[in-house]
This record gives sequence, structure tokens and C-alpha cells, in this order.
Amino acid sequence: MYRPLNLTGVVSPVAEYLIRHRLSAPIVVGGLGGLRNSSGSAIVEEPRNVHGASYKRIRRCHGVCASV
Amino acid sequence: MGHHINESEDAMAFVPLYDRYINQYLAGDADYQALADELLSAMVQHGGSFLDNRLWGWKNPRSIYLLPILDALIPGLRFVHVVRDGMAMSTSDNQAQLTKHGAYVIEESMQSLPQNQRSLLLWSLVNNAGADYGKSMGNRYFVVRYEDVCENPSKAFSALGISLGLDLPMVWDAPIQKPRMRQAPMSLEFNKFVIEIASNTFKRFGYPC
Repeated sequence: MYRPLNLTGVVSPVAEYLIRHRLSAPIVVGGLGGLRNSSGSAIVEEPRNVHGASYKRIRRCHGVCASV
Repeated sequence: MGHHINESEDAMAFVPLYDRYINQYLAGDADYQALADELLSAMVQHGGSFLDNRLWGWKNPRSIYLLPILDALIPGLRFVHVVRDGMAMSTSDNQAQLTKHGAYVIEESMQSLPQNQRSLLLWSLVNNAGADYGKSMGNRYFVVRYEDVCENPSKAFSALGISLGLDLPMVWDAPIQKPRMRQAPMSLEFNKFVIEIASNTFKRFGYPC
């Protein structure tokens, strides 16, 4: 899926920014979503879905990850 | 993490960037310098005053599509790959990623398949690509299964917590309602597709197939 990268000539301003502001490297969270449907309601309301978890309760529990 | 997050805690500052560049990248037609410049702009917009924190970052599911670029442009990037049971993903009403990016991930000959099959194919391709790339990131890559988080968050996050120097609570601040067991797929045809296309991916991430 991923394409070969040719970054010849590309200057990333990110590294300089992190150094200048004394920032650590970021932590990025990603993955395929699906806990919520497009209308914003939790999928537990959808009969064909399998998760019984309450979105808001899970979100409060786990912060950054569980709502992916 | 950060400013401008929606109720799913997705970092909204990255939405225009991802909308603009994911398909371009997947098609092999991205302007990487423009992407790098806009990436910094999104980071600054997202971070705000939070950028003074020792640990910072953002959550947006679609980050996984640009993982090699993010890794190349952000020195020391740490990536948390959240995986969820593909059977749940393929039968969910939320097919936003399939709609937005499926045509750029799934080969043309497969694009006439039913939605649940294309969704499962996307799940398999994206997660395998992320995990394969993650190997090159060494201890900067973490994979977390959603179901494990629901089962035992402290255990699921233990490797991440140790790496980041976090003291994870033994008891979390709200009760966890575990996901129900997944339901059987709908049809014999889908069952066959699951076995043919995604069985190795299910095994790779520890799901039954």
C-alpha cells in the first residue's frame, strides 16, 4: 500500500521546529476507525455491530486510544 | 491531546492535510515539500500551548495512511497503531475510510466487490502495511488492540507506558463494558472471502478466523 518515498530536495521544517521549541518527538495515534458512525452516534446503537462498549465511558477510561 | 479535537478526540487540525494528501500519496502523486510545510502548520495549530508538555502528539485514525511520510518528516516520531477486529470493522455502518481511501488502496479488479468484502480487504491491507512498516521503527512503534484495551487497559498499554515513562493506574476512572463477542458473518460467500483474503491478517493480530 505504501509508496516508495523520494524525498530528494525536500526540506522538512518539522525537525528545526522541534529543536527550536525544545519539544520531544510527537506520539501519533492511528488505525482504522469505526467506533462511531457517520452521524456521530455510538455503534452500540447499530444492531449489526458487535461491540457493547459505551463510547463515552470507554473514552473517559482510555483517553487517546480507545475511541479510534 | 491538543486543541481542536472533536468528540472522538480526533485532531481536527490534520483533517485538511489528510484529506488533501492521503490519496495523492497512495496514488504516487504527492508534493512532499508542500506536505511537509502543511504538516508543520497543522502541528502548530494542533499543539498550541500544549506544545510545552513533555509528551505530546495527536490522535487521528487516518495517520496510518501516511505513516512512512510522517516518520520521514518527523525525527523520532512514535506511532501507536490501534487495531480492531476486522470482522467488526467490515460490518460497521461507519465505512468512512473505505469511502475516502478505498479506491486508492484496493486494486481495481476488487473494487466491484460488496462493501463488507472491500471493507475487510481495506482492513487487511492497511493494518498489514502499518505493521510491516512498524518493524522498521523498532521501539518507536506500538500496536494496541482495541479489544485488549477494553479487557485490561493497564496491560494493553504497558509497553507504551514503560516506553513513555508513564505510571498507568491499576484501576481506571470508569467502569469498562467489554465488547460483546463478534457475531458471525452474514453469508457463506463472506465467510469464504474472510478465509481467502484475511485469515493471515486475523492470525497476525491475534483474532480468531
